[in-house]
Amino acid sequence: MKNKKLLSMIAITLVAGMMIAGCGDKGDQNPNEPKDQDGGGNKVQTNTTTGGDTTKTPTGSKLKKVVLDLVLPKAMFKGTPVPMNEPNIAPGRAKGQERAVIKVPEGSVNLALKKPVTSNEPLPVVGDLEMVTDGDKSGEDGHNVDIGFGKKWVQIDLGLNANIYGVSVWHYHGQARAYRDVIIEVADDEDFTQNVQMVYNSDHDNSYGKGIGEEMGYVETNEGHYMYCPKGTKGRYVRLHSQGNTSNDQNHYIEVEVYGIPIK
Amino acid sequence: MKHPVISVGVLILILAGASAFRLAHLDNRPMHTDEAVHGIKFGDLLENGKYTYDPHEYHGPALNYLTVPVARLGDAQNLTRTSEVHLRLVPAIFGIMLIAGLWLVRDAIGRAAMLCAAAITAVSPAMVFYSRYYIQEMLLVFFTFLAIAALWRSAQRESKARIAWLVIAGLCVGLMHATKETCIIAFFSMSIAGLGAAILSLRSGNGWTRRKMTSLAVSGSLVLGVGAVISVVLFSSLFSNLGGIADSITTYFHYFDQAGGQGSTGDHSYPWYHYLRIILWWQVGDGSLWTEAVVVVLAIVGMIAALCGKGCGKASIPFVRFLCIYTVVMTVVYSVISYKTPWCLLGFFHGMILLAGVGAAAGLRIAKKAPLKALVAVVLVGAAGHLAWQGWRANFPQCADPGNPYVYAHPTHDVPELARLVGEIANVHDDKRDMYVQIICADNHPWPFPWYLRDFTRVDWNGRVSPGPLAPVIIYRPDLSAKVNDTLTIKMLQSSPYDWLRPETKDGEKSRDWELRPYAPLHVRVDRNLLKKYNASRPRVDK
Repeated sequence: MKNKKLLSMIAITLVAGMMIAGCGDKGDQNPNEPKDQDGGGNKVQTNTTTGGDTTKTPTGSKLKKVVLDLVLPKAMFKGTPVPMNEPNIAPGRAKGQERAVIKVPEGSVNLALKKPVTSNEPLPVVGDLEMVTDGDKSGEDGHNVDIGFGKKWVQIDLGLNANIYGVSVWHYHGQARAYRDVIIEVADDEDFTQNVQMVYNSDHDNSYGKGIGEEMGYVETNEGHYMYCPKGTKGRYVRLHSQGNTSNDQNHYIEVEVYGIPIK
Repeated sequence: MKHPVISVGVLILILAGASAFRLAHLDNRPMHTDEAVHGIKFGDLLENGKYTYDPHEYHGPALNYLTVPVARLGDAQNLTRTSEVHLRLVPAIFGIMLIAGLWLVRDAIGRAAMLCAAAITAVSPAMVFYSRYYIQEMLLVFFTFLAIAALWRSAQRESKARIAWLVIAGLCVGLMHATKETCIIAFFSMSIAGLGAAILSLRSGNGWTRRKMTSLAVSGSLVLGVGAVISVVLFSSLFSNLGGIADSITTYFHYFDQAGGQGSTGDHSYPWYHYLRIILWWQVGDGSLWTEAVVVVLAIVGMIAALCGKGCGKASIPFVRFLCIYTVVMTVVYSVISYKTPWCLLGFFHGMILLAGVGAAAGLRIAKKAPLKALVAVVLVGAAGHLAWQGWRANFPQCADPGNPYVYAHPTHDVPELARLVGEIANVHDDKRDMYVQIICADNHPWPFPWYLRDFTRVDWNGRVSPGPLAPVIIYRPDLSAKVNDTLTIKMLQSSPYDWLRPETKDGEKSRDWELRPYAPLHVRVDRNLLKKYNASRPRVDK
C-alpha cells in the first residue's frame, strides 16, 4: 500500500514537472521570435528558469531553486563613439543653476489656452490637436499629440488680434531630445499671407526652407522653452513648425502657451 | 632665475600644484568608452597575462604594460579590485613627469622659459584633462618630449653620459611606437625640424656644426636600434605573439585609411581648423567660453624671438628653432588629417606650450624698465590664473559637460549612478553578483557599462533579445529595431511584471530617461518583486 502511494506520488510529481517544463518552453519560445536569436555569436544555454523566487508545483510542493546556467559572451570591444552630430544646440543649464526669470508686460495672459488648433497633419498619429492648448503639460504618455514626420506645423487661432510677447513650448519632455528647425510665425490671417512675422527660427541650415535662423536649438525639459517675441509682434494666428527631433523623425506637442495682451 | 636653487624651488612648487590638479578626485568623471575598453583589456593582462596587439583598434601595448606596476603597487590584483584611480594614475604620473622633464631642457630654452612652460603645462585645461584620462595620448606626449630632451642632452659637449642619453632616447622612440600609431607624425615632424634647424644653424655658422650633425646621424643608429628592441618586445607581447611585430607595421595601412575620418564606429571628420577652434575659442550656444589662446599668442612671440635671435637669453637658438619647425609641422599635419578627436591636439599643443614659455621669457627680457617688466609679469600671472580657472572647471564641475571642448562623446553621470543602483539591487537578489543582467543596444555598443559592471558574472551584452527567460534587470536603448523591441515587449508581457527604474529626481522635477551619452537615452526595467525588495531595503528618509 505504501509502495503504491509512493509510486503515485512520484508519478504525480513527474507529470507536474513535465507540465511545468512544457509551460516554460512555450513561454520561452516566442512564436514571433526566430530560433537563432543570438546571431551575434552570443550563446545562452538555459537549463532551468528562475525568477528569483521558489516556484510551487500544482501539487503544492516547492521546487528547489537552481541557478540559471547561462554561458554569456564578453562584451565586444568597440572604438571611440561618435558624439551625436547635432549642431546648433544650446547647452543645458549647469547643475544648480536657476531657470532664467521670464518677464512679460503686466496684464499678459496665456491667449492660447483652450483655443482651436489646426495643422498640416489633420489626422495626428497619436493624440488630438486640442492637446496643444488644453493646459496639460504632463510628460507622460497619453498627454501629447504626434503629428507625424517631416515638415509639420500646428497653428493656434487666438480668436482676436493681440500684442504677443512670448511663446512657451513643450514638444516632448519624456526624454532628453531636441526638436529640429523650430520656427514660430505670427500672422493676421489663417493662411499666413498678411503681416507674417517670424518670431523664432532655429533652422541653422535652412533645411526647412524658411531661411537660416539665428536661434539655437535646445534640449526639451519639463520647463518647456520660452521664446521672446520681437518688440511689436502683433497678430491673431500663431504657427509653430518643426522637422523631427534627435530621437526620431516625429513631431510632437504637449502644450503651447502664447503670452500677450489683446488689442481692443 | 639666475640661481639654480631658486629655479629648482619654483619648479618643485609648480610640480606640487600640477600634482594636486592631476591627482585630486581622479574618479570624478564617468569612464569614457575608450577608457573602459582599455580598462577591460588591461584586466585581461593583469589577471591572465594576456595581451594581443590589434592592428585595427586600441593602439599600442605600452599603456597596458605600464599600468601593471601601478595596479600591483595599488594592491589591485584583479580587474574587480582595479578602480578608475588605478588606471588614471598612469597618465597622471606621466603628466607630472612631463613637467619635471622640462629640467632636462633648462639650458636649451632657458630657465625662465622652462619655468613658464612648466607653469602653463601645470594648469592648461587640455594638459590637465588628458592627464586624468586613461588613454595613450599623455604617454605619447611624454615619450616624444623625453626623446627630444634626451637627444638634446646627448648632443651637449659636456655630457658625460652621452651613450646613456642616447639609450634613453632610444627607449623613448620604442615606447612612442608602442604607445600609439600617430607617433609617425611626431617622427616626421622631428626629422623635418632637425633638418631645418641644422640648415639654419649651418647658414649662420652658429651652434651646430657639420661634425655634430654627422655625429648625430651615427648616434641615430643606436637610438633606432634600442627603439626597435623595445618595440619588438612590447608588440610581441613579451615574445608570446610574434605576429604582433608585423602587425605593428601593417597597421599603418589601416590607419592611413582611417585618416580620411571614418572610424570603426562612425565618422570623426572635422574641418582643418577644428583643433585651432578648440584651442582659441570654444563656446557652445551661450554656454561657458573656453580659450587657451594665450598659449598660441605667447608661442608666436617665442617663434618670432627664435627667428630673430633676440630675447631668448642663453637659450639655444637652434633648439628653439627646432621646436618652432616641429610644432608648425605637427600642427599642419594634424589639421590636414580629417580624422580628429580632441585629445590628438596634445602633441602639437605641447610644442606650443614650450614655445609659449620661450615667448613669456622673451617678453620679460624685452621689457627693460621695471614698471613695464612688472606689467608683463602681471599679465602673465593673470593669464596663468585664467588657464588654471578653466583647468579647474574642465576637470571638476564641468568634467563631463558637453560644452567642455575636451569632452567628446562622453558618458553622462547617469552611467556610474545606474551601475551603483544595479549593484544595490543585486545586493538584495539571492544571486548577488551572479544576478543575470541584460544589456540590449541596437549597435551592440554598451560601453562603458562593461567596466562598471565588471564584477557581475552573468551579463548578456547583446544587440538582440537572447533566448531564455528575461533577466530581472534589463537595460536597453529605446532605439531598438521594431523586431527586437516587439520581442522584448512580448517577453516582458509573458514574464513576471516589470517596473521602470528611472533616475531619482528632486521634488517637483519630472521623471526622465537615463542617458548613456547626451541624446542617447536608456530604459531600465526591473522585476517588480525585486524592485519592491530593493525599495524595502533602503533606509527611509523622513521628509
